Amino acid sequence: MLSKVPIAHLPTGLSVYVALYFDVKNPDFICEQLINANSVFEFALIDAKSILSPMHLLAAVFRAINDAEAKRMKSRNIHSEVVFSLSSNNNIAESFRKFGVTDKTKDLLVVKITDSTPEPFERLLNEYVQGDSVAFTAENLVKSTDVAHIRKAYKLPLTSRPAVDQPCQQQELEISILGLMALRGAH
Amino acid sequence: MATTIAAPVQEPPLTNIKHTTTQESSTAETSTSTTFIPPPLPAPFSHTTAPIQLIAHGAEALLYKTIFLTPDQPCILKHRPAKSWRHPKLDVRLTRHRILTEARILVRCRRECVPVPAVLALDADAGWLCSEFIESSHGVQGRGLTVREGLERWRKNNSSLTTSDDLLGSVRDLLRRIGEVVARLHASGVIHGDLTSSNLMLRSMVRPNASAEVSSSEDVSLSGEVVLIDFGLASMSIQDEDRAVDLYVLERAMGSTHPWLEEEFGLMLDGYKGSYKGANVTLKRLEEVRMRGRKKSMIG
Ligand SMILES: Nc1ncnc2c1ncn2[C@@H]1O[C@H](COP(=O)(O)OP(=O)(O)OP(=O)(O)O)[C@@H](O)[C@H]1O
Ligand SMILES: [Mg+2]
Repeated sequence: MLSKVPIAHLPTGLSVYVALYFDVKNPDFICEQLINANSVFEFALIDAKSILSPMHLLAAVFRAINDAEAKRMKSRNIHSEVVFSLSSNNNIAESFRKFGVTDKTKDLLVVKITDSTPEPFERLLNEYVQGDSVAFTAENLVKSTDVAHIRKAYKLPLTSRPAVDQPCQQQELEISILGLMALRGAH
Repeated sequence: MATTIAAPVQEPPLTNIKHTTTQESSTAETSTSTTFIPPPLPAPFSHTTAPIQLIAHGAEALLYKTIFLTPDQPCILKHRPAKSWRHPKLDVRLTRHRILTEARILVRCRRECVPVPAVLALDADAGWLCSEFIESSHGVQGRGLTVREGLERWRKNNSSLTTSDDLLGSVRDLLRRIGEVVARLHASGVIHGDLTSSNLMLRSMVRPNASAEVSSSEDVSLSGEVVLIDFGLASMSIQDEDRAVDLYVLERAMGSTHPWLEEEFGLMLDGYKGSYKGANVTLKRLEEVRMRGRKKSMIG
């Protein structure tokens, strides 16, 4: 189920839709579509374990749209740019390995950025993705999150600093990640 | 260094700007006689339908309060508009450099647990940086609370007190906390470069259902967390000279903005002293820097 996610400061007419699937049965088939560059099936396909929170994902969407508008995308299209925008470095292939769908993906996040109606995309997803569609909420997302994987992906190991409570640690991790994403490509 | 401390300027009026898609910049409505026409907002904010209000404009940058992605994440948009008198290519390069330097230092500070606003997004080419809005339950008109405003309001409310009064306790405590925060900044290898009481904010919990209007301009508490802002002149250094000059700038700025507190400034240094290993060396150096400053001002 694609649901529209309101994001501030988007260009006029552009909308962002997100779907979340638990227990995807056919990740290999979905990967194939990507490898074969199936132009009909154009989405940002993200392994949900690599996403910490809605803000984490939406910050990448925001950056991708902004880079696209400024005509400085580094990857093929806006949807691959979303995956690349999750990265803290300029290695596109690596960003796909770390954040993109793989044949081992269990929970899948799908993002569609479009200026047209979502129904055709919704139909495509129903056809291609075999999994339990759930609402894109912080509560659902956190069930998929693999914090260890994320800390490794961003090279943010747990420090030996005095223990802080869980919500606080999560907040700081999210902030570190947003900072690293914003600084990607800074020179 | 001492000569670079300008008299603090009056806080600009809160300006509501209506943005249209064609970005007519004359739509700013000002409540005072000063008519300030801000330059057009950078993309993607130029077409935004979200609330965005100008809260400060300096020589280098314009500051807006708006939201990042969703209404529950208020943010500060710092825009460094193009300078028409500079060569365009050079201007873009300089702006880019400033935005990235500030962002890098903020990110570094946050990782080192130094209290600064989080970096949320940036576009160095377009000249903007979005950072976390530092909220205060005592901010007026949706603004946060700077240490400067906090101290000025506190003084107005407590004008009958003398410096020996116990009630000065909250001010003394604040000065100590400022020293501690600056020490943590220095310990992480960062020099702020422009430490003033306007570049320090007090963060406090905003009650979810209390509207900004509830807080009056008199009501104030100095108990919030001290947060460092405005890293436009910051740099990386662990030299005691740089650290000492940073403290000296703070002392001088506080002295000119809050002369009634001059006798209490030692408390800032007390807070600084115990907070990291090199603190004592820096404080020794500060004495030298003060001497030089005095000589300089005698020569003129
Ligand atoms: N992160 C923030 N959260 C809340 N308010 C902020 C924040 N950053 C800035 N402000 C408000 O805006 C004012 C000006 O901000 P800042 O010091 O960054 O810019 P500036 O003074 O114009 O820059 P400069 O000192 O380089 O001229 C602050 O005094 C404060 O009231
Ligand atoms: Mg300032």
